[in-house]
Amino acid sequence: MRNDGMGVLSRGTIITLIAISFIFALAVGSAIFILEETKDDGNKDLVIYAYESFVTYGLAEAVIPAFEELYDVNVSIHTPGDMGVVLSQLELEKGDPKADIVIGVDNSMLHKAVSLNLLEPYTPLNIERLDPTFAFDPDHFIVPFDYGYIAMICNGSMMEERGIPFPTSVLDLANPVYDGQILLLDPAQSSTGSSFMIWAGTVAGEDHQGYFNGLADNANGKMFGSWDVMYALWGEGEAPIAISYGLDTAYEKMWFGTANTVTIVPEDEGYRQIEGAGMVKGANDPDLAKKFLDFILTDTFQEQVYNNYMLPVVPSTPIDPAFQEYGVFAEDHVEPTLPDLEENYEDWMDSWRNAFFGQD
Amino acid sequence: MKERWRNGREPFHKRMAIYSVPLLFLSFFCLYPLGLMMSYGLKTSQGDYTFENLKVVLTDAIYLKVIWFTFWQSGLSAILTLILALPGAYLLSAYDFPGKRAVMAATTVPFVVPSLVLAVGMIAIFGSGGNLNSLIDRYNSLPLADLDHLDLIGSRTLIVIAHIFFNFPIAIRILHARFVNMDPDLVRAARSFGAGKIRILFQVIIPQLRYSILSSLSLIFTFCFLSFGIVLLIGGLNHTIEVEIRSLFIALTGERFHHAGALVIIESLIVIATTLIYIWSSSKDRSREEVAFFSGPILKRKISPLAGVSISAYVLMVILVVFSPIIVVIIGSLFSGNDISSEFTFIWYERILTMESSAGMSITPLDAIRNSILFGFLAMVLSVPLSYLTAWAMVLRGGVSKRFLDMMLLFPLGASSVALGYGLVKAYSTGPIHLSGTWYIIVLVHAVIAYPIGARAIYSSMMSIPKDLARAARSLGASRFEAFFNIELPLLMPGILVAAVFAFAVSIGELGATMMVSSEEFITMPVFLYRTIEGAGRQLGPMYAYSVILIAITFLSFLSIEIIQKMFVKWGIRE
Repeated sequence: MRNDGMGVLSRGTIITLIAISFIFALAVGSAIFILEETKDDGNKDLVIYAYESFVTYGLAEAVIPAFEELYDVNVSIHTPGDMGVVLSQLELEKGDPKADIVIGVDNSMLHKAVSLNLLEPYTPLNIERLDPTFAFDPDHFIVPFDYGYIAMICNGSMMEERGIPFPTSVLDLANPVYDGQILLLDPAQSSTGSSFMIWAGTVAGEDHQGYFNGLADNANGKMFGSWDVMYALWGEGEAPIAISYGLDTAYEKMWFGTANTVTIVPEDEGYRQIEGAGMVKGANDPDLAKKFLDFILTDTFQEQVYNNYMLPVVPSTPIDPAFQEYGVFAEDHVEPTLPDLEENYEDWMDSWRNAFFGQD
Repeated sequence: MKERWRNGREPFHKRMAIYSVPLLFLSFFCLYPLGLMMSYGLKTSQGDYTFENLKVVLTDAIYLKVIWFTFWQSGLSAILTLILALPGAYLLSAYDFPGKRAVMAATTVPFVVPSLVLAVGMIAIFGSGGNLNSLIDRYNSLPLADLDHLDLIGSRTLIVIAHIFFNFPIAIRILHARFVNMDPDLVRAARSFGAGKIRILFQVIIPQLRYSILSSLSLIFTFCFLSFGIVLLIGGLNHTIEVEIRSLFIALTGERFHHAGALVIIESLIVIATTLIYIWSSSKDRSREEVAFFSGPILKRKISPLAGVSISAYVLMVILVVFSPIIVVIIGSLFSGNDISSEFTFIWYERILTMESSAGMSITPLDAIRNSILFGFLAMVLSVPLSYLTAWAMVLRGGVSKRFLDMMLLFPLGASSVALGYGLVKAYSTGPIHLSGTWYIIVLVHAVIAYPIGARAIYSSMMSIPKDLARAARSLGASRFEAFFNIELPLLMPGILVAAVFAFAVSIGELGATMMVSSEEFITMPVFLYRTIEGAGRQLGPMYAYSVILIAITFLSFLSIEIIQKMFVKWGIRE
C-alpha cells in the first residue's frame, strides 16, 4: 500500500532523475568555474582602460610587453569602446574602480574627465622630455603620449567623379556644394568627433550655430558614434569626405600602396588632438600606475606611437619618412586653451545637438 | 472545462512562498535599479526633488522629436507588418500545400536570430555598397536605364523596413493561430444566409479577429518601441527613446543624465500601457480559443489557380523576407568582395577566428562565443524556475491585489533594458551586494528580461491541463510525486521547453543591457559583434563571418535543447 504524499517512484524514474540532476549540477558547476577562472584581473598587476584603436592599431602590442618585462608585471587592457564610452565606464565604476590607468583622454575630453573627478594628477619624473607645445594640462592630470592633426579626408577619385572642389577651410564643409558628401562623428561619443567640433567651433567663432546647421544639412544624417565605423563606411564609398587625421594618406600609402586619399589640413587653421594617459582616481596600484606614466615619455614608448598613426610628443623621436612625405601639417593653430574650452564646450555641444537632432 | 490549477486555493503560507521568490528577485534586480534610474529623473543635480526634468523632456524640441519618432516608427512598423502578415496568415490557414510546414517553421527564425544580425543583413542589402545597389548598377548598364542609388543607411525608412523584416513572421504566427481557431460554422452560417464575401469578411471574420489584431499590433508596437540594436546600428541620427537614453548616459553631463531618468519614466509609462493592452487583448483571444477548440475542423479549400499563384507569390515573399538578411550575410562572409561576383574565400572566418588576444587584451572572438554559451545556459537555469514559480503564482485564485501582483511579475517585459543594465551597475557597484563587473550581473539581467516571457508560456501550459487529471491519478493510487512527474510534468514540458528556449535566445541575442553591464572579459557575442562592426576598418567581411557564427551557434543550441527534450521523453520520467 502506498503512502499518500511521499509515495515511491519507480526505480527507473529515480535513477533518471538523479542522473539528470547530477549532469545538470555538473554543467552549472563547470559553467561557473569557467567564468570564475576567466575573471583574471585578480592576478593582473595593472589594469588599463583604453579606446579601441589603441589595441586594434597595434600600439598596445608594441609597448605593453616591454613595460611588462621592464617591471616583471602583468598588464590587462580593456577597451569598452570609443573614448566617450571609456569615460562613462570609469564614471560607472567610480568609488570602486577596476582600472589603474586610462589611455586616450585627449585635449577635447580632459575637462570632462576632470570635472567628473575621475583622474588623479601625477607629474612624471621625465616630464622635461615633453615638447612644451603639448603641455596644455598644467595640473598634469594626464601625460600626453601622441598627437595628430584633425583633418578633412577626401576620396580623390570620387571627388573627381562627382566634380566637387576640395575644401580649403573647415568652414567650407557647411557650403551646400557638399550636400550629402560628408560623414561626421558624434562628439558625445567619439574623441575625434569632439576634437572636430572644438576645431570647427573655434574657427566658426560667434556664428557656430549657423555653421553647425549648415554642416547638419550637408551630413544628411550621416553622423556616427565611432571613428572606426565612419572610416569603414568612408572606405566603402558612403561619401567622399570624412573627418579623420592628417596622416591618413600616409596610412593608405603604407598599407595599400595607393594614395587616393587627399588629406586636408588648412595651413592657418590646424587643430592638434593631443592624446594622453592618466591615473584613475582610487587606482588599486598607484605606484605601478606612476611607473607606467613615467614609461610613456621614454623612447621605448615614443618610438612606437607611429603604430597609432599619430606623432610622438618627445621632439627627439625619429619620424617615419612616409609620415614626413605624405603627412600634412599646419603652420598656425586654432587650439582653445583649457579655460576657453571649459567656457565654450557646453555651448558648442548645445548648438551641435540643436543642429543635428533638432532639425527635420 | 475548469482547470486544475485554478481550482485549488492554496493555503496562505504556501501562496506567500510561491510569490515571494519571484517577487524578491524582481524587486532586487529589476524594480530597485530601474526605480533608481527613474528617481534621477525626479531630482536636480543637487538632489532636490523636482518635475523640471520631466517638463524639459516633454517640451524640449529634440526630446519631443525622439519621443515622437519612437511612437511614429513603432506605429507604422506595426501596422505595415500586420497588413503584410494578414493575407499570409489567412492563406496558410485556409489551404494545404506542399512546403506549408516549412513556411511555418521559417516564421520561428526571428526568435532565433539576434536583432543585431538582422541589422548587419540590412547593411548588406540596403547599404551604399550593398546588394540592391549592385543590382541597380547592373540595371543601369542597360541602355536608357538611369536609376538612382539607394541611400538608406541612417534613414527612418530603413528602420521601419528592418522592423517589418523582424516582426512580420511573428505576426504571421499569432494571426495564423487565430485563423486556424476561427469558428468555421459562423462563416458557413453566414454564407447559407446569402451573405457576400465582403460582408462575411467585415461582419464575420474581422470581428472574430479583432482581439488577435489588437494583440499582435500592441506586441509589435512594444517590440519596435523598445528597439535598440537595430536603431543603434543603422538608425544614424534617428534615436528611439532607448538609444537616446544610452547616449545621454554616455554624454555624462550632469543635467542630461537627469533628463535620461525622465525619459526612462516616460518610456516605461508608455510601454506599460501597450503591454497591458497586449495582455488584455490576448486574454480575450484565449477565451475564444476554447470555444473554437470544439467546433469542427477548419475549411480546407481546393487550391484554385488564382489561389495557387497568390500562395506561391506569398510563400516566396515570406522566404525572401525571413531569409534574405541571413543569406546575404552568409554570402558576404564567404566572398572576398562580399558578393557572389568576387572570389570564394574563407579568409573572413580565418581572420575572425584567429584574431588573437593581443597585448594582454583579455577577449578574443572565441572567448565571446564561450561567454555567450555559458551565460545562455546559466540564464536559462536561473530563469526557468522563476518562470515556473511566476506561472504557478499566476494560476492561483485571488482578488484584485493578486492581479496587481501578477502584473508586477510581468513588469520586466516592458522595462528599458538600457536603463535596467545601467541601474543594476549603479545600484550595486558599492555596498554589500557587489555586482558591477562580475559575470553574474549578466546572468541576472538576462534572467530578469527573459523570465516573464517564459512564465507566460508555462502559464498557458498549466491552464491547458484538465483539473481532474492529477486528482484522478491520485485516486488511482499515484503518490503526489508520481502524479507530478508522470502526469503533470510531461504535460508542462512543452511550456517549460519554450521558456528555456526563450531564456537562451534572450541571453544570446541581448545587446542593450549587456552592453551597459558587461566588463571586458565577459562581453558576449552580440557586444563583440557590435565592436567588430565598430572596428571593421575597411572590411565588412569579418563582421559577416562573425554574424554567421552567431546564427550557427544559436541554431545548434536550440537543436540540442530539442534533442535533450526528446531524450527526456524517451528515457526519462515515463516508463
